[in-house]
Amino acid sequence: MQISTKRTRAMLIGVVCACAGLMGFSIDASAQSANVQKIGFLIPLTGGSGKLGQVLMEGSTVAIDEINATGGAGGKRLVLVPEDSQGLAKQGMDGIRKLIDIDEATFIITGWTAVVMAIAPLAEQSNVYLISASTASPAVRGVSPHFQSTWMFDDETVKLILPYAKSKLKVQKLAVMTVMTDLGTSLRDAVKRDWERLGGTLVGDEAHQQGETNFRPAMIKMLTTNPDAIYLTTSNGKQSAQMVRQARELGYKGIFLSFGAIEDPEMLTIGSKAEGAYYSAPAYDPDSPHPTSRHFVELFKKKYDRVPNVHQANHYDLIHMYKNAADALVKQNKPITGANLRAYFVANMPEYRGASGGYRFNYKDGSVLRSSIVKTIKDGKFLKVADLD
Amino acid sequence: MDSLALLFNLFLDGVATGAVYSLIAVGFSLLWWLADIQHLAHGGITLTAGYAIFFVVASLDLPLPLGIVAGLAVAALLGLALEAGVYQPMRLRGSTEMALLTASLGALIVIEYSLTLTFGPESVSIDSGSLRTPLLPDMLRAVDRFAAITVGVTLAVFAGLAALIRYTMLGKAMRAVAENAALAEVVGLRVLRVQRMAALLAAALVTPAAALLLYGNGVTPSDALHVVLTAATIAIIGGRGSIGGALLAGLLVGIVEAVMQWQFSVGWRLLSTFGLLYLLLLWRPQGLFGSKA
Repeated sequence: MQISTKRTRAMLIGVVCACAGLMGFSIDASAQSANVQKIGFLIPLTGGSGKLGQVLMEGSTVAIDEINATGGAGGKRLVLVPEDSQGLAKQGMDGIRKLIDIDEATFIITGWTAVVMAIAPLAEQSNVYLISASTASPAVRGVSPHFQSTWMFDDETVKLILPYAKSKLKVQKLAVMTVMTDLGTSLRDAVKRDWERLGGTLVGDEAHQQGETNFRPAMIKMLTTNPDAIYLTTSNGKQSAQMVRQARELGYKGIFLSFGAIEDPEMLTIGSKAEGAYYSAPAYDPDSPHPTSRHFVELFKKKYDRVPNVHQANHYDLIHMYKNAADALVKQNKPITGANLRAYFVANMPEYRGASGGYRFNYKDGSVLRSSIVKTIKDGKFLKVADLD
Repeated sequence: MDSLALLFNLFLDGVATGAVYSLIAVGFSLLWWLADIQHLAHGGITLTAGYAIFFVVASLDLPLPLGIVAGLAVAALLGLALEAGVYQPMRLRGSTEMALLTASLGALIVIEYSLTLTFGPESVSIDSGSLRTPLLPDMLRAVDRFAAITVGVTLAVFAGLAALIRYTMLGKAMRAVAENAALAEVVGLRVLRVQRMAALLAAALVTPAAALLLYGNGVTPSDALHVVLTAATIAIIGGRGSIGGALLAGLLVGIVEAVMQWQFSVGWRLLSTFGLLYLLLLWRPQGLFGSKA
């Protein structure tokens, strides 16, 4: 079959134009990417903690918008790249690989113990810096020099909430519902140790799997010990809500104690059954007169038409911490790598005052100290009850 | 509450849980008996009915009876679709039992992922409100109106099913097909039609269980396989095709799971279920009320 010369010529011209177009597009894309810095956001966005993850992202998004409106960070426009970890190690690894290999992120906001434990070695190996405001387990203490928490580990928050429970809430008999994870077991050990040190009695200790939904038999058993309070170790808001609901259905009128992860929208879905839950949280006050806090609250209300919570404030702070580091590194003509970010933080940021309050970092083991408060759930809201030392 | 009172409470809680298990298991047992299918997609149909009820009651804010009708309709259609569209064509082509099992597993996965894509991966539930208030809070925490409704509905469904199998023409046809499908065909019974009716019935039977799950612990797409494995375990323990067996085995599994927490933590729950299965199979391989091959 003869191919007409005209058709061949037309085809060749078409191929050349397509190639030129593609080259132009890729040149344009790389020109664009040269002006953009991607920040990874590896957090559960679906699943039992998905609602909370979406909440966290709002805080970071406000900071990104604010920074981009004033010229960006390190001379570049910031883009937040979310990856859904579902709070699971495997999904966390899939997410970080994509963030590192495709998005070339060198600063990744992450959280949840199982995810951090899985991704920390790869982050260090790839010269990426991980920062978190949603990892509570002391199991991640010292996991990598490329990981820094901005949320107090629970062996430290336990030391704050338990004395409050004993002295102010008059709790004598404490029971623990332990989720069989690194976080759960380390938290149970910390609770047991500190409660006995305070002279209290641990009357019950029931363990459950991560995916459990039926807590009635365990609660029936636990309630026979008549605890004044039950400490919940799960970080899954839906699971916490389920436990509290089922305990209240069985007639439990006592107190629930937990840590900051219980400040989850899922807890508000069970209505008045959630009342009587107390937990420690960073000393964030949306009515604080501090200029940084006030500025953040105004920006957030303007974008989302509601008052931000501590998690949103924390995640706003993480982006601003990055901005400080990125601006400084660019000024020093240093590339923004995980190692350089860490070096900057260690040298220049032993403490930080952000929208969510004060931070005092321990870069040796990745922990942080925060001024803390006790909060409770009342009238469908998370409310401050007292300051903690 | 002393130790014996705790044991009694756990026993009663196990009865309510086991009643729900029985309701899920009886449909599985029915199809296994009548059409020789290990209907793994049964778990997916159960959860689909739950999500249908949730959609109607929680999302559209319509009364529960309408939700039940919706759940029934969706489950029945899905069950019928699988029977007519998957199992029967495969049987007519001479497919092996393993092939049917694999097809059923494939259907389960499709249903699970469809539910996940539509409703998300997290569980959904509806608050049962004051139905969960213990009737005797100090002594019998496990006894509340929801538990009573659960047991009542289960007994009513089983009584109705037993009457249908025993006294109706459809029930007699089902027994004939289960006994000897070829002979039933010869005497004029339309075997394919009977099998479709059985599939419809098995699917419809999950609806009350789905509603009880929704108002209890909630339904989650990823639970589909666990639901059907529990149903299969109970069907094996009870004996293939035995309605009474499915009821008693479900109650037994529910009670054992609850009671074992008297001394062990809740994390050992699944171990108790399958431990019971293995012990029973060692003693009586045909199940409690099954007949020996």
